[in-house]
Amino acid sequence: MKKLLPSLFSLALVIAILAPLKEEWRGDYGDSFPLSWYPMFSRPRPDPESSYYVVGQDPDGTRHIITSRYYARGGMNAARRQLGRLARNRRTAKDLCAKIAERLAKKNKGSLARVEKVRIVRGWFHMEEYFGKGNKEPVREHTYASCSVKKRAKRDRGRQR
Amino acid sequence: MIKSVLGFFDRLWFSKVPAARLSWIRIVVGAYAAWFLFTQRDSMVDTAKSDPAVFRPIGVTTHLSAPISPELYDSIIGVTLLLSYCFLFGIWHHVLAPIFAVLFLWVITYSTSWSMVFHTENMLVLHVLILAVSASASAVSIDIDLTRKYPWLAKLGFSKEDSTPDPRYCWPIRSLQLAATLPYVVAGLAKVRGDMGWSWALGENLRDQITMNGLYYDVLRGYVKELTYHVYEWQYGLLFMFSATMTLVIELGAPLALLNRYLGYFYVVSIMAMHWSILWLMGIPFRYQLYGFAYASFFEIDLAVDWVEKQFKRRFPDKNAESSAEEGAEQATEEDAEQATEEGAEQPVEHSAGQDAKQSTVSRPPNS
Repeated sequence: MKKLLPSLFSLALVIAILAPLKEEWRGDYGDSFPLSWYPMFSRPRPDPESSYYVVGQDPDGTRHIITSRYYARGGMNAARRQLGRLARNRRTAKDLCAKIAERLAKKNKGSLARVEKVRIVRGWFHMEEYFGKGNKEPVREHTYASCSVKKRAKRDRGRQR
Repeated sequence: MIKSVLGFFDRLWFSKVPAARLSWIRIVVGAYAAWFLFTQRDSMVDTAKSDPAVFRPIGVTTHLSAPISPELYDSIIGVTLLLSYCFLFGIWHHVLAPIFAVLFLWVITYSTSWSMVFHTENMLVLHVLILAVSASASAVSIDIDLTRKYPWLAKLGFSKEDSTPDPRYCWPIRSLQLAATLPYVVAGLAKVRGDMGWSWALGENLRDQITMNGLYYDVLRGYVKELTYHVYEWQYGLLFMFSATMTLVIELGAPLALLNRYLGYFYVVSIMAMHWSILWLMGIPFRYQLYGFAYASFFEIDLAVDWVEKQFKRRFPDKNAESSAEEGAEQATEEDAEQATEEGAEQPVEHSAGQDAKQSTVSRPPNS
């Protein structure tokens, strides 16, 4: 009895850790915590590779990447997941786009101060082109929401205060 | 055959191990858990303020149909943080440690439900759970000081001091080692059972993972590691092949580390090197693993602590203790001499310079 319980505990631990190897035991979203099947480096990557992101455009047509600190909380991976979930829903994508535009409207300095249009997109890139040759143009881009940055004159802002 | 396998398992799982070893592992893991909660609290609460539309409850939080308020979440983290200190110092261990472990699991799972499923804290949570249900506060803890003074506290779940090596301190260490090795086997199997199969070892997939990560950083954070721009050069191809092959060997062979102490050391060095490589190539910090906290169970920390203690005492001898010991020894000698004279005993009582009063009493001949 003194050894039975610890043995059963250890056995249960082994079964629990190995359980996610079975596809049906990976939770509702295909992975769980703290018992995971650690899929992060296991899947072959598609070519072209894709990602959700937010891009701004200034009057000259120059593209500016809007970093995640304008629209998400947490680190890169948290931001990526949050943006993906919000982009796929039309309403949340529009709301998010409006929020980003509002934040950018308050900017007076830097290159992002000139941005007049914001888009939430998913872009596809050839990785060898992107990193091997430095060509960062997307192969294609799908827009989920777009909105204009409405700059308010300083006078208006002063009046509102 | 079965008998010898069972015998081997018995020796592996139920050898006599000093309680101090498990206690020190609790302190190492507990210190990291407390530090993690303390430093990540703001970030976790901040994440929980995200748009409720992104909330997807997983694991132990699947009972939630909607997110709780960030204020409540912050309070739960606060309580968990407080309990983490109790776990670290070994206070009311048999009652508070399991509560801490469950809350710790819940708090991190809740945070993970707001974003992607991270794999950085899995091992830490498993280790805390194992230490919480085992006798990991029987040697170094506040509990043992309390139960020494008030023995009745042991009935309420405070840990009692135990200085004799016992199998009940061995199996938790082996379980900790399992939790530090088996997840790598799962990760390794996920790689070779995937679409790439054993060709994963050629390194191409590893390179693609690095460029994928680089792309995400570039389009979401606005920066990317300079190294990512060089991964298509031929010399990196060789590096990736070597790294991928080694990764599979280390991951799939991880449980061998339980069989022998030196295999364990070799495993710890290899797996830490793997995590440092991941940090260097991809910028992903598995902090619990990077700094070795995750592998504390592979070392005889109690012996290391004893050694440090001895070195410290040798360099900085406690003069007060020495003089009181000498005084005690002199006093005991005088008392013994008197007693011997009174009783007419002929046996001399020997004392060495370092012996304390208690020892002198013990060393008295039985017939005196």
